[in-house]
Amino acid sequence: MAGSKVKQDMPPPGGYSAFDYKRNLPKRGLSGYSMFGIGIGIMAIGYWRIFSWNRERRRLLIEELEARIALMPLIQAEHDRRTLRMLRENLEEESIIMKDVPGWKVGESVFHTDRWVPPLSDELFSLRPREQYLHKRFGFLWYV
Amino acid sequence: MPLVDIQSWLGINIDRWMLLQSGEQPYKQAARCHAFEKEWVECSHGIGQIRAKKECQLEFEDFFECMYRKKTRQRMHAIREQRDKLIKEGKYTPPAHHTGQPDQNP
Repeated sequence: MAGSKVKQDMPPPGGYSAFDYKRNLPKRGLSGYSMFGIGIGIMAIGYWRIFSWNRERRRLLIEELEARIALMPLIQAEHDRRTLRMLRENLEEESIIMKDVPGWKVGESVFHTDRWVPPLSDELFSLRPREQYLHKRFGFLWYV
Repeated sequence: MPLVDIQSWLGINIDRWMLLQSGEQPYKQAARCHAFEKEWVECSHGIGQIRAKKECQLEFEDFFECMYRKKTRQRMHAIREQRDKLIKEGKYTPPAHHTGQPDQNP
């Protein structure tokens, strides 16, 4: 070929300096066992907190139930008064409305027994706007 | 009463607990028609089906009415229809407590 007179791209005299080419995988951080340990430790602390708070919630629930039991006579009395008042109003309305209907006995009970039968909310609210009946029936739900 | 009472022979209770509304309920919550059913069962116990159908007619009708409320609903329907008819003819106006604000007094 042309010999050594051609300009070629050669390394500098003395060569390049040394550089790192080996794999670098340093051993660092926690070991696997200790990571498991930390995770399990955090979980254990979490469980303990949840359980103790649940016990506290149960105590609070029992307190609320006791309060409800204590107020029961008052609430039941109010409810009964309201029921009786609505029944009375319905009876009076019925006697006015069905005055001219032949063969209608006002306030006739549909049962043969003369035991007190708690009235349905259907009956109590039958002459009122439907909205009140729906509020009574579906205004408060035990389930979500 | 049954010919071969397996459950009492084995001493187990697979489904006898759910046969009657008046049986033992969880949390002691009574059924709505508990009294009517109890009356009917007590009336018709031990006298056979033919006699029970004849003699316990009233209790059975009360129990049926409690469960399905057919007569109650018929009455309510009749009253409401008559009321609407009277309102249309202009002879009746519902009183204040049957319209407007719900009253909360006891």
